[in-house]
Amino acid sequence: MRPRLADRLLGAGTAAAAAAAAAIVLLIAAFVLGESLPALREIGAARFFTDGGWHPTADGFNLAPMLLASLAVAVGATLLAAPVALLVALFCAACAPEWIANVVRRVVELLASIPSVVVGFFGLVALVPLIARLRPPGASLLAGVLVLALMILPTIALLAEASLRAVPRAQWVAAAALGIGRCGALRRVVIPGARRGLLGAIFLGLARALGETMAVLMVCGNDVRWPTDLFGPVRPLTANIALEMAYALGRHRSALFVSGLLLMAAVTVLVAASHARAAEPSRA
Amino acid sequence: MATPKGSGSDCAGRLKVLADPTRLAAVEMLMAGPRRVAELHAALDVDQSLLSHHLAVLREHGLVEAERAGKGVLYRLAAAVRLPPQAAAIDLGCCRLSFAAPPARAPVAARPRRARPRGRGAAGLLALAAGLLPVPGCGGEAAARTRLSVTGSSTVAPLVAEIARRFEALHPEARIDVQTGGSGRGIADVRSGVADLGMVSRALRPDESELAACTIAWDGIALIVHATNPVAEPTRAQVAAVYRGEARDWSRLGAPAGPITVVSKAEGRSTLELFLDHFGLAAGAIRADIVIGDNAQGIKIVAGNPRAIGYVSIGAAAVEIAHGAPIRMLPFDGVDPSLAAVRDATFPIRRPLVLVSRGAPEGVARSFVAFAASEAADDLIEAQSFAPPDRRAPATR
Repeated sequence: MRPRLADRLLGAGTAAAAAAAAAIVLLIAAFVLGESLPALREIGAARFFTDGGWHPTADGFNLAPMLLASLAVAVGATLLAAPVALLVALFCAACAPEWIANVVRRVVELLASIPSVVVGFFGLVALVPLIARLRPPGASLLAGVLVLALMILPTIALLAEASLRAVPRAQWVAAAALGIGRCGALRRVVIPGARRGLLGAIFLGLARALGETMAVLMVCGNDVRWPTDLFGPVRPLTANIALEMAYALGRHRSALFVSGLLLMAAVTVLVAASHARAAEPSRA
Repeated sequence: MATPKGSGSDCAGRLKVLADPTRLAAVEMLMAGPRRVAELHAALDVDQSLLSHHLAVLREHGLVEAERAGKGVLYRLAAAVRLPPQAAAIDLGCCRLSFAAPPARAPVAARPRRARPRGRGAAGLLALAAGLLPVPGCGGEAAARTRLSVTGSSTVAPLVAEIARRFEALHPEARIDVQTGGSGRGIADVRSGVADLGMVSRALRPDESELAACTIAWDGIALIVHATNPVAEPTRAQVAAVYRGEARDWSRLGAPAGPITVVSKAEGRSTLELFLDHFGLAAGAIRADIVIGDNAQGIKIVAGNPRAIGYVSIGAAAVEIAHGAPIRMLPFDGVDPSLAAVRDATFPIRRPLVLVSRGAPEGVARSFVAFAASEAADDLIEAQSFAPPDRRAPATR
């Protein structure tokens, strides 16, 4: 029997939307690649990692310090935010009475919806002067890590909580029936069950931290140097693009698209890694 | 007598009051937006006292409103008669007075070429062709051409966009398209003919001398420090040493000891180029702690760090200082930075904001350049924290 009209429409409609979403990603990737080609051809891919420094108007195109700065800021923020976020998620999903969990969830959602420019502004006028009092100049890797941690904490917490809640109720009940305490049930049953979702939450937070632009632009100092000093300034790749794109011409502009390409590659590797990790056997 | 809407007698009174070339021309100018008396006087060929009288009459009949603005008086159309600028008309209650653009322009604004009443019952539509206003400055009268594309410096673009809005309101047939992309792109686009006009935020170089340039405003750059920083005027060599990373401590500049936080601008900004030029530094030689994109960010950083030094646009700094930002501009060559010092060239670190064209501009480009370089743009220039050029125009007040 032929499927009903409504069902066929649903199938076609969702397929079209999915195709559009995929096509947009491909289009953006193709565009960035196309815009970077002149630089890659004229300058050569190797020089983006071996040049003496980033002086695009004086023929220096080394992106490596900025790539490392991006990774350092994002990984640092994730290391700081993930444990707290997971504890918040556990609290909401397993420990707190329902009404308190609801309040906490609303507050965390509110934190997630603060625009990054506002967080960056807070960092610039509150955090940076504070760090400057400890050790100047204040705008630093540390400031970037702290601000980003603040921004990805709600992302990780909300996603982690959702995945904890997705563990079937029956498993909680079964654990209780076996006489396992709340702590034991979490450790042995719920967390292993939600492993995939928890890892996904952390990697999504990391990806968001890598891609965040406005806040890091405002607090990181943006001087191009290797991220060796927690109190020293760094320039992540996103900040590099935002800072220079409006004024860049010719090769300089094309080199900035190479920054974008590099960033996309880093995020792609991350997403692939998170899938690989999540695909490992999580339950016996 | 049947009146469709509004008060009939009031409407007739207003029409009567408007039956004067100077008043019509003034109303037409005000349709584009508020104007100062000085601007109206510069554009209309009448004695100042006579103009004041006309404006007073218009005010009494509720056609215009006056407001004190700084040194002068700002006139605008009364809310009751105002229509959106693109309508090129005013609403008198019983009828609308429409100023349609004529195919050819009258030489003097205050003398409308033809008034053509188009009867439509009691509420007649009065279509009136009034001439455009000649402006003093770089150009003069222009022939008809409607589209104008302007590209270039993002420092100049917001100003030119504002001027273009005002120009379009006065010349409804003109469409001005402003795009940014840096001074270099402005010059490249004008050379290749892609754009009619280029915006450039520096003086033209010798190899660009084939382009015609008209300075519409000036911008200056000053060193800023925190308000509590007692440092006196640094020498050129000291500033260069700080930005080369050779002097890392305030004691080298005669201030209480402490590490200097060096704030510089991102590569590609013309502020950076001007700064490098002035202090004889190479782009790769700068050792900064913080690299910023725009002035506001630099001011925030210096305001939050008592040991920081940076350089920003004087206008932007002056505005922030007026709003209480704890920063201080350092004097240079014995001159305190101010927009006035930039304007009369006593402050040395300054740059012209320029409109360039391939050869002398023609058509709409010519009248637009003339408009941008005239007093009509002064309030817009000041609103963007730049200094209007020294025009030595005949004093109007």
